[in-house]
Amino acid sequence: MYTLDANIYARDIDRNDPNYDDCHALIERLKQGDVRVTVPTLLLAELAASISRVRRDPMRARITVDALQALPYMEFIALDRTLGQEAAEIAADRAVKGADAVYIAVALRHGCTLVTLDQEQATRAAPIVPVMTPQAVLAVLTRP
Amino acid sequence: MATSSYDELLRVARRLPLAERLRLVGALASEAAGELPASARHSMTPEEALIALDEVRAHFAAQGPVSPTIAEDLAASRR
Repeated sequence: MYTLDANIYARDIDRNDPNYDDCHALIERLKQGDVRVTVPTLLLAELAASISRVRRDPMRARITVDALQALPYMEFIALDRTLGQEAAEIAADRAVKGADAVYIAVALRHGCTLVTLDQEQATRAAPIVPVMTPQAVLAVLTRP
Repeated sequence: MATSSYDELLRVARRLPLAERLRLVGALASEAAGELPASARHSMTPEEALIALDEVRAHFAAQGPVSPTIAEDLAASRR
């Protein structure tokens, strides 16, 4: 199981992004549905906000997050009080940014590998959860 | 049945003090807003979702590159 940070989806939706190819290749592979992806519901607001702000396109921001929620291999975890407390402890103990800590907390609780292209998040998460890049995950999933 | 229940509830709700009425309105609006995305989600099948995502990618690609990128804006929002 994997927890994909919003930065993977932000690159997958934008073919002009320098990391689009790697992120899109992973998202395409995940479409097979044999691998579960567990993410915080926070991802929805983060992604919709950045799409709307950058592209000035609230309609496609909504369509994007609605579409992600319709994919059967995606599981969205709400930030309840317990998860919030776990994220707070991670943020406090490891000086991780608040949103980054939420993804790490979800990965930790659900036994997932965190997939991110954010170097700081990856470095600070690595002592408590497995961390991989999209390219590395793709290599694992396409291994014969 | 549903209409009479609604009227009955409305009549009772109107007897509440102003603060309680506002609290009730807030609670109902918040709950209803939470239910709306769920009903919208069910209207899109996985196949439709994949097509929708492809359409969004194609639309943004046709618009050309922008600065900051979506990923850069996301990173900036976390700083």
